[in-house]
Amino acid sequence: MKITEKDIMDIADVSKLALTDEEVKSMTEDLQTIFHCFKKKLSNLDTDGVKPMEQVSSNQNIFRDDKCEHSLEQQEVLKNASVNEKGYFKVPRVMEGN
Amino acid sequence: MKYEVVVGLEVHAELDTRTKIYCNCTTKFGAEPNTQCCPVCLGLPGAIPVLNKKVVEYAVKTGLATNCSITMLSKQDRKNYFYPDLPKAYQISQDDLPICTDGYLDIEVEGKTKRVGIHRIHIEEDAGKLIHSESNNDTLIDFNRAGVPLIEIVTAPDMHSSQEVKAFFEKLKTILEYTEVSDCKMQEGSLRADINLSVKPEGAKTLGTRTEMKNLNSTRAIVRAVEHESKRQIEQLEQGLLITQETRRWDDAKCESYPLRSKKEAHDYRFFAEPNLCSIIIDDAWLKRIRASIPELPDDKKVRFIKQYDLPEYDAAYITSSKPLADYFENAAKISKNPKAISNWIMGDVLNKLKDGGIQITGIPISAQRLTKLVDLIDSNIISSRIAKQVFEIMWDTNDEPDEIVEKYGLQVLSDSDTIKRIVNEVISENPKAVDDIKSGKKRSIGFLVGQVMRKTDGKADPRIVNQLLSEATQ
Ligand SMILES: [Zn+2]
Repeated sequence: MKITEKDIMDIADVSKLALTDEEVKSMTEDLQTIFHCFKKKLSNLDTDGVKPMEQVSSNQNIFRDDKCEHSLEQQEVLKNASVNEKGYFKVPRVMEGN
Repeated sequence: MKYEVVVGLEVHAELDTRTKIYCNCTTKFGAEPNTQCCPVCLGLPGAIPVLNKKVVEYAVKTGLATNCSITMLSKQDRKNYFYPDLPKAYQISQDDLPICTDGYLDIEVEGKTKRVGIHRIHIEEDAGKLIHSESNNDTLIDFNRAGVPLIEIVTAPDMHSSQEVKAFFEKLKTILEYTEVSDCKMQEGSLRADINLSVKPEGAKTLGTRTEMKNLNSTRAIVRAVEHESKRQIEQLEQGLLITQETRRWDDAKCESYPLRSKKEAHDYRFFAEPNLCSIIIDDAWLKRIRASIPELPDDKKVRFIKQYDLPEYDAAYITSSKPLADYFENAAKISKNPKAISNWIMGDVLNKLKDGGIQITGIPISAQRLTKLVDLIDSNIISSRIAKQVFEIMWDTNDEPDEIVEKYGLQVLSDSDTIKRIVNEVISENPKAVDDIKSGKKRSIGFLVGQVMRKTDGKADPRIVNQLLSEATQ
């Protein structure tokens, strides 16, 4: 698989990252190298008889009962807000469909 | 050219659990902002989600009630996107192994039964609520809703008119209410639908380009949006224009839709298995227990009401379309000697009163037991059915027992023959013309005389006695 500059720009876009042209270029090369190593390793593995893994945890059916417990106090919740107003987190206006 | 409309729905229902999907915060609606949050639902680093067992059970219950297959082994996945209402920058949802698949609901439209396929039902978490301020250039966020459990029900593109969409949506809502999986309070956003709609020339094999309208939160808005969008797309095609695949926002107040700013790239959610959660295994024993918890569903109840209480099909369908109404009817019908009359009262006076007062069914001020008593009073000829309407009005406003009302206002049927005879004689002597008419063969004039007697007795005279005495006196 070949990593292109477009792939890097698409990934940057969905990750909301602004990359310079040089960064795009160097990342394309870096990621290509990483992928290449990965591929070499993977294709040398014997996966015969290995079942597909649905989930990383080998546990099954770990559940909670539907019982309420205390939530955090509002001041505590808003501690991580850079700006808050009337009990709300405040952020620059977002347009729908962004 | 004739066009065919093709509609599929994605319905989101908030589950009626006490706590959120992955933490113990309450799901109660209407609290002060950001008072029902914890490290898990705020996505703080290091917080680990643990799945609420009820969420799985409610999803399975819905699947069973909508004829789905239940997935033995299902899993949860991360759906990645950035938006301020999503604190983790991903939503935990289900991608390739949803809990339920391949179901259907049968709907009735214009006397015909139609089957609408259900592709899948999966569980996921709700996002926080954004409040956009028009004046200031900012957005406020309340995370109380973040992590409230949802099921998303995805239908096949099997609906072809707003009537079909309405019938399907209402049926689904009824089932969610019957199974008590969701409170379906649309005004609180507990039930919302996305509409996927396209049009194509009638008979064409391939589907047209579709648009999506998100988050419609009333049946009326859904119907209007479907009608409006069908018309808009047909007009585009008739003008030789192409339909753009896009998400549109429906503004119900203005009855119009407009495109949302579309992204240059299609969404890439980069789904992957949620590493903090494990697989869900639903074995036969668990499935059996959940199946046993499903109550009688609307279709079965309708058939039983017709059989057991001799209701007309229309009345039975209407009454069973709402669980509280069906319960109200049955609470009265099972202690009444005349269930048919109970149904008539409900379909008539009760529904009118609810409509006039804008009252919910759960707010009917007359208990089922008292309604039964009212019907008994009529059937045992203690009050006339005309007077019963007055008694009903008083019951509605005062919540008094019907027999007490009859006693208090002296509304009993007047069945004392001597008293009625005296009044009949009065009426006869006051209306010689009508009496002559009757004697000369105009039998219809007897109705006029009956009316006169009723007026003099405030409608309380036993009509059978009045009729009998009047016929005798005018022979
Ligand atoms: Zn929480």
